[in-house]
Amino acid sequence: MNLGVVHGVVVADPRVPELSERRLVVVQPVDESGVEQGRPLVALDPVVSASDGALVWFVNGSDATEALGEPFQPADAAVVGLVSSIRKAGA
Amino acid sequence: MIIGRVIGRAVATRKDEKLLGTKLLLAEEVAPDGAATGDLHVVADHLGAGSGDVVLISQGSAARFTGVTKERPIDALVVGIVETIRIDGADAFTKASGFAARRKRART
Repeated sequence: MNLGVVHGVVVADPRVPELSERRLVVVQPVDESGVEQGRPLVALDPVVSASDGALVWFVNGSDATEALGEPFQPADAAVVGLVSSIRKAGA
Repeated sequence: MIIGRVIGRAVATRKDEKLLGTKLLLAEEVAPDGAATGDLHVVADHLGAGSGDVVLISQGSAARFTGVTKERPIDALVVGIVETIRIDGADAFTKASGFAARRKRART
């Protein structure tokens, strides 16, 4: 799983009918200190409904299809949790 | 998913028979503000995307989870044609006007 900050939403129409989850968000991957890591991506957001600026957990690759459940959806990234706090060992 | 701008078609005269009937597009990956990342992708498309369209691309095994791509050797698929991208509350892209950042650059 990865940490990311939500920066916005994407609306796509038409879309493949198998992509039934409608909410798509732009996520910038970050490390545990909030430093940006790599390029932003677009992820489905089936449970969190994260708003701009929210720190979230997301999964990518085939893990994302698991997060969305059966029937599997053709998505390679999904937000799976809203982060409330991060505490490093010893901190 | 990544965002891509369709810049052409890829045509293969000889290909795996499981790819027969699959349209392949050439797309350049872009950031949410429309800036090209420099990466090009060949992607399968069943939505009818054409040159200039901004599309959402699923990669890896997820690309096979549709009725038309099931059990086919496809690792990148157009799953949507982008209508709008809103970043931090402002329209970064609309299908009608294109990318806001690129319009700004064109004016200056």
